[in-house]
Amino acid sequence: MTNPLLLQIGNWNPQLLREIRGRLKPRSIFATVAVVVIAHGLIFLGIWQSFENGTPNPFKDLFWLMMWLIPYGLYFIGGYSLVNDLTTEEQRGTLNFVRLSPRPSPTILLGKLLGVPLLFYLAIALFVPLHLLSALIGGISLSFILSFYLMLIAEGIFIFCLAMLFALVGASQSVVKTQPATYSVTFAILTLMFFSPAVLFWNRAVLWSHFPSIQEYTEPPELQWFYFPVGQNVWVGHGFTLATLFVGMVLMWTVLKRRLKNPAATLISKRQSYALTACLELLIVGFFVPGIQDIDFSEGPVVALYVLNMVLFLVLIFALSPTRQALLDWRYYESPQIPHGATLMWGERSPAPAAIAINLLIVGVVVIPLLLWAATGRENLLSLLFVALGFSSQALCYAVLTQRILAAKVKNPWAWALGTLIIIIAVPLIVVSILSQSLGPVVTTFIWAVMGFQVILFAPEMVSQFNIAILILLSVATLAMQWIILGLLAWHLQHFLSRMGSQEDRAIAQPN
Amino acid sequence: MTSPAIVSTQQLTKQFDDLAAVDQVNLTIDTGEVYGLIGPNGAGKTTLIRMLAAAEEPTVGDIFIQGQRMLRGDTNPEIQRQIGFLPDDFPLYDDLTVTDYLDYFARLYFLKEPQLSDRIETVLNLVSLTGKRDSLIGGLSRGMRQRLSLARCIIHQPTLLLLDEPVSGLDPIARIEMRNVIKRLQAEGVTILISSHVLSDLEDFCTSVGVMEKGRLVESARLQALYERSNVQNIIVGTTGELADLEAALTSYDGVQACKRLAVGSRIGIEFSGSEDEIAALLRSLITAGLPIVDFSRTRESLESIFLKMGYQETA
Repeated sequence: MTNPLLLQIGNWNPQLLREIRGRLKPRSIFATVAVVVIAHGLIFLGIWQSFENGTPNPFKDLFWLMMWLIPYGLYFIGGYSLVNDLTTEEQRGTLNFVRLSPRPSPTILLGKLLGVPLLFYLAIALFVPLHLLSALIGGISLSFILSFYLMLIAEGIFIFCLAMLFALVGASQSVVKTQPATYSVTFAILTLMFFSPAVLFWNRAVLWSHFPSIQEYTEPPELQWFYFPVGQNVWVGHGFTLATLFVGMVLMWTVLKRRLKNPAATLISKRQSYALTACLELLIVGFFVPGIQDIDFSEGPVVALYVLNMVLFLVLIFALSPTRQALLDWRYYESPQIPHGATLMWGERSPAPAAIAINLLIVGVVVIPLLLWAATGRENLLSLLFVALGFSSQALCYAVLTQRILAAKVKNPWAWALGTLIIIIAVPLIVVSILSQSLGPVVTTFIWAVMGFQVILFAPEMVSQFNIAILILLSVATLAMQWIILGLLAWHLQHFLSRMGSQEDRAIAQPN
Repeated sequence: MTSPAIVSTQQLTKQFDDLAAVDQVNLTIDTGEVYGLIGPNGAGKTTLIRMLAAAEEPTVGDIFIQGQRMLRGDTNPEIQRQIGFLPDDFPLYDDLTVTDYLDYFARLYFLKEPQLSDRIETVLNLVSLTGKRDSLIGGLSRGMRQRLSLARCIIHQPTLLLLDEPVSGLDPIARIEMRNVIKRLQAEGVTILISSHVLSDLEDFCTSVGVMEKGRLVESARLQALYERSNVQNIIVGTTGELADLEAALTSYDGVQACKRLAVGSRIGIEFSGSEDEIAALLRSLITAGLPIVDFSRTRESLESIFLKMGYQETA
């Protein structure tokens, strides 16, 4: 007979009940508890030895150690298990049945989030009493403990949403279908190397610097967002972090819902991309407003803004570009019946470059007033114009190229597109960086500019060595080159799309 | 009076590159029918069924389930509750027991206690898996796994069942068991669309058939109408007299199309086109001619033979 509590859980969330039944087998529970008990034994042995060695407060050291181990372990194993579970389900085909059920996607996703790492949640829960005990004996303040667990849960949900997104994005790719375990390990490594250190660095720098009781106490940073002192007040810091995580989770949840129900669709719709770009751009720009006093193209805020926006656009390009089958369907179905411009702006299956151009305009609307406000003098305004145009042309070139590769009849088009962009962006930069010693700073800077990074052309050392007219001339030349490449790519894509499918096939789309 | 259509499609098309996997299909299935979709491998049966189950989006065309239009890029929960879909592969969760598996899917379709337990018992009984209710799925045979998959797609009492090659890859006994389950569902009034490339799988329980070739639905008719259209009866005539006399009498009779001596006994098989009265007249003429007739049995022309004559060589 099933436990009434389990039945209630099942009525609320069948996916969670399925995970409980599949994972909480007596043998698995016993193994988990046994591992935790052995770990406790080893920890107490270590503490006893510390006392014998005369360590003044080993419980504080234990608290400190667990404060790092718990989030690292939770995010690493939890993220791995979620990616592995979803990719395996997609590979096996079982996710299709769940997809076709009338249960809404959030129910399924929440069930996965709560249920898949269940055994590890149990292990962490069994460690919590020891952690709290070490905090109390070690003299750690209650407010810090609360902050730690609050951020552990909030950032855990954020990383687990990211894991599910990673899984659902990759799961439909044939390269992932054949190697789900490798894909899961990739996410686990990313979590270990980037995601966990990033959130813990933020916590330590912005939130926990307000607690003098913790080890390696540092002064709170002067971090501001639209002059709002995020780093100076513990409540504001927590509120801002939680609000940002919440917005991030809402955005990811939107993509997850869409992706779970329709794996063939683009990650986000064009409409969603416009809202997403506006939100993220406001978030990013907010941090730069207090820092930009005057435009300095050599380092700091402008270059960081440039790089962050390029990363944002690379993500957008992949999130918005439909694959060959969707483009074919668009050619047959949407294109003949809806005005062309409208489908390019809003259509689910239309090519991405037009939407990328609109997103560039949105970024311009948010960023350019900030830069105009910071810029002084006509030269700076001209440089700003060239940097903005150069950035836009570069992003559009990447968008058109990616769309062309995704429209091609190749196996693993996503891998091809990603690989091509990485080669185009990274390889020349690496080569130039290696050769920079022999080429000298001026030639190196020119090469960077030719590759599209005009932002570097207006660095102070360049301005001091060259007449501004020469730099502008060079900018015009690189811009003209970018536009020629963009024009050729766009013409080729347009020509390619118009040839997709024969004339006889197109006849089927005409209404009878 | 005809039943209202539970499924209807208009110009339904799925294009994969230059291949129209499903090409302008206008399909109508009435409530309570068992519709056999037949055709050679690659004819588009699976793609059509996947589109009807909302597992694949059409390139062009519309699907209506009980009059409600299926929306593109979005699925209507009300329509999803009406449909049970069994694909040609049948992935399962090996770590769950049979009951837990069905319980999971029942809850996904909003079934609750106490109806849920009763429904699981009913379905287990229907697919003859009552004795395996507490077994782990990983330990079931292929035939049992196939029946469990069928149980999964009927647990929520759908009004329309979409079965893609449900008996392929099963041994003869498992095929018979599966066919019996489908017949029981038919008796319960569930509308079934079942695909197969083996005509004999469908012949004894389908009420209508559709033939797909190269993505097109080239034939769609009630089975009875097909038999009537063919108007050919297979008749076996046995005699204790001379086989040559019987053969001569039969070949000279108007309406006898083919005449062939059978290997076993003094019997001749003929194909005769004519009504019931004309068959009776044939028997009377043989007896009147003084031939010692000891066997005169009639069988329906097989679907295979009908489709061969209609020119659907690939399907037959």
